[in-house]
Amino acid sequence: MMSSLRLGLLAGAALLASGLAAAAQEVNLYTHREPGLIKPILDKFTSETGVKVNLVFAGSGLAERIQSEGERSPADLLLSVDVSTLTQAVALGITQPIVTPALEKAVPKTLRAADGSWVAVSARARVIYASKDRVKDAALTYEDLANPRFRGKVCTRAGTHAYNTGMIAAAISHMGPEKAEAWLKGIRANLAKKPSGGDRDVAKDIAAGLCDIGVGNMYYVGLMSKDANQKAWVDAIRVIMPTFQNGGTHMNMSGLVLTRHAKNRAEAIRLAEWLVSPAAQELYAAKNFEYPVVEGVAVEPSIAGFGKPRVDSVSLDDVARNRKAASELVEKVGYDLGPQS
Amino acid sequence: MAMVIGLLVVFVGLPGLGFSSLMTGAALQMAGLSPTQWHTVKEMTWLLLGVGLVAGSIGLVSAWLVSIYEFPLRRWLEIGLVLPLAFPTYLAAFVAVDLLDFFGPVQSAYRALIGARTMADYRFPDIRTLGGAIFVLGLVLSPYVYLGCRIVFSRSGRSIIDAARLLGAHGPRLFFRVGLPIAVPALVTGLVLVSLETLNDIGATEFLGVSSFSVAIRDYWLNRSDLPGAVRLAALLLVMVGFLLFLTRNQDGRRQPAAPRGAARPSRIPLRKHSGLLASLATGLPVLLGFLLPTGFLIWRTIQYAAQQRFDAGLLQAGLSSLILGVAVALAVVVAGALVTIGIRIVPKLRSAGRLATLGYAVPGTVLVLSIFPVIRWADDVAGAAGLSLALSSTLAGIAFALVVRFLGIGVTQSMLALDRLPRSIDWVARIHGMSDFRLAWRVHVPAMAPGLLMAAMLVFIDTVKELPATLLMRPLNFETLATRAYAQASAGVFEHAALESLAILALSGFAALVLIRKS
Repeated sequence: MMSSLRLGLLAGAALLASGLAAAAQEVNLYTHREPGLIKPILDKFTSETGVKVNLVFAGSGLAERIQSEGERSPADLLLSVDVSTLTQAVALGITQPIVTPALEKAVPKTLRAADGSWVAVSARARVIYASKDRVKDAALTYEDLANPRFRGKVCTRAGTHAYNTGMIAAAISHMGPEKAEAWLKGIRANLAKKPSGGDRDVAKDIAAGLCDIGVGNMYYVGLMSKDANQKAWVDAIRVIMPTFQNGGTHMNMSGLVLTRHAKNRAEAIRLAEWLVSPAAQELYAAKNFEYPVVEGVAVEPSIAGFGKPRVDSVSLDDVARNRKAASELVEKVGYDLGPQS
Repeated sequence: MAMVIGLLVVFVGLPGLGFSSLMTGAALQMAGLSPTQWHTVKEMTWLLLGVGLVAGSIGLVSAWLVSIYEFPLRRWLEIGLVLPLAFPTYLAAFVAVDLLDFFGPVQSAYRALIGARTMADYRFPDIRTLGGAIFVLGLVLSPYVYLGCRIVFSRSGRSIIDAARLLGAHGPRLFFRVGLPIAVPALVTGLVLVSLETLNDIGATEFLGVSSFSVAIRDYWLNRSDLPGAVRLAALLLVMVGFLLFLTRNQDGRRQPAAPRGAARPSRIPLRKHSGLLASLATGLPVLLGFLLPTGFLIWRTIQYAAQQRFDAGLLQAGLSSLILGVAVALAVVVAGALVTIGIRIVPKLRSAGRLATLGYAVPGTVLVLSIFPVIRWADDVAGAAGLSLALSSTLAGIAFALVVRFLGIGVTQSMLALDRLPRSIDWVARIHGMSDFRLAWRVHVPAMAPGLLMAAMLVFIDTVKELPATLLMRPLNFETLATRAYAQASAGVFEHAALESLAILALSGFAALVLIRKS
């Protein structure tokens, strides 16, 4: 009786202690990135540092949730899949600068905010998927997507999706609003079908012969080649690393902001610094097929084979600034209505 | 009465205020819609009409056949017809595309059969179209119509049908002159549910490439940070919902006949060989296409992607979370719905206010969450000021609150339908004998509502297990349901990797659907 009581007390004390330890050693992450893609990386962080990472994933709206939660928000960090979400979070006033010597040393200036409000942890290029059989061009520009010779041959996901809005925002920066409108109208006229599905569906539709070219993020090619069923889609396409005429490749990034009311600030910064460490960056490259943001970490070989993206003169801040205009343009042009109607 | 008003305030009024607070600072310009928005209105209208037609005809005709006639497999099909309800619309869309696109088994087999190789060699209808969306949504939403109509044909309206049969009516004449007219209230109620589900759908329509308000609203709000624009679209959506509710307002007066107590098991007309097989086919096809085939396909995918399935503690925990959330929300909706209905019965003037309860069901999940965020923040502020650590934001209680707001309409509608079958004269008699309001409610109204409440509980349970936008955006850290786990994979473009989660959703909601059909 006595011993069982003592055992119980001991167990209770142990529980309490572990609870306290956990409370001191955790970080709360709101993420727009699919958990399947970042979980292995975060697990490694936990095993190395003992800091537990608690997650909430949603496709959209997490910055708005943090705003609504106010001071009570449990979130310490917000991880996005495009730069606009981060600048939007900054605009909502829910962030605080995330500036440390380690971050400044690791991440190039172009991949973090000038005022330290956000920092990129991985980068991706929006590339052209082209049919191996039916498209012979060695190089194409984003402008070529609107070329009438591709009439009825282009597939994309919805123009309202952040990946496309980002690309269109970059086009507005390069071409100005009028030319960008004509360009987007041109792509709409070239569509083989109403935009639907995701980037992987573009490769699938090309493989099926529904269209010849389309746009998608480059890492999906790596992910699809690992999937038994999707390998056939990837085998049918070739990746062309496009550029804007007189410009570079549209790159976007996945990045972090530190929330204004972060309770676990130290752990949050520790996680941010760890994510741009060579070990984590290698995981990003090898598992997720993304570009590392840190110099000296190798790009995954099959991705490196697409060619080196030419650095664009348009900054990520410009892309973020034009997001609203891009979204309005998608509606004005009726992009998501598809080729007819 | 105070209680009814209180409930309506908490579950309808406060979120409504939250919604209006979104409008502050933004002039509500109902001025011109852009051509793209007009297109969305047009496409949504076609979608609503199409889905209504498909779900309505499947639900009505199959309910008629299984209630009136005897044919091969009837007993199985009568139960099976409710099962498509177990499919969340987004999951149905994923499976439909996976099954029916170029690389799917259907087209592959067809190509092998006719010796075709590429798409240029043959024609096959594309599922990712408005037509495809109508087909998919119509199939999985048809049980909403089927359930209500079946109750009318086999129970509450049975004596009328039997009398007409004695008088010599049969075949199409029996259906059009007797069956259809008595089924109108149930048909309309079912169609309203179907339409509301269609209006607030986001996953299926987006994946199938159909323009919808839900996507447009999200685009305005999150891509453009244009709240006034989002609110304008949401207001337009509410106008459509208001119109739908307006269509049903006259149904209130048409009380359904009370089911005779102790009525004998209805006798069915045996169908001869060919017409019997035809009836089996007509009722079997929705079960096959809306449940058996997609479920079988999911099982096959689970085996094919066995290595990617995560059969771990997380899956069991997610299953448990779905179950607990479903039960809690169902109970809360049933209690709140019953109280509102009883209040309306006692004070009929409240009827139109009660109708407002349905609004939550119609609003897209994202907008609903937006409207609820300020309410939760306010509640937490008040609780905090009073020194309570009770918090709604980022807790299960917050999600449960949002889902009760969302599904209260089901509770009110179903319990009203049930209570309306009880003649008012019974209330008068009770009062003459000096029965108090409370006793009248407890001893008379609650038992009369019981079948409706059970139906509501099961419907809400199913809806909660399938629900995505509110659960996803409001959940606490590390909290996963089956639906959020499946969504995480689907949004990475590999929904097959969560085939196991999808099957678990089907098992939970399918079980509730079976209870629903056995008890109704």
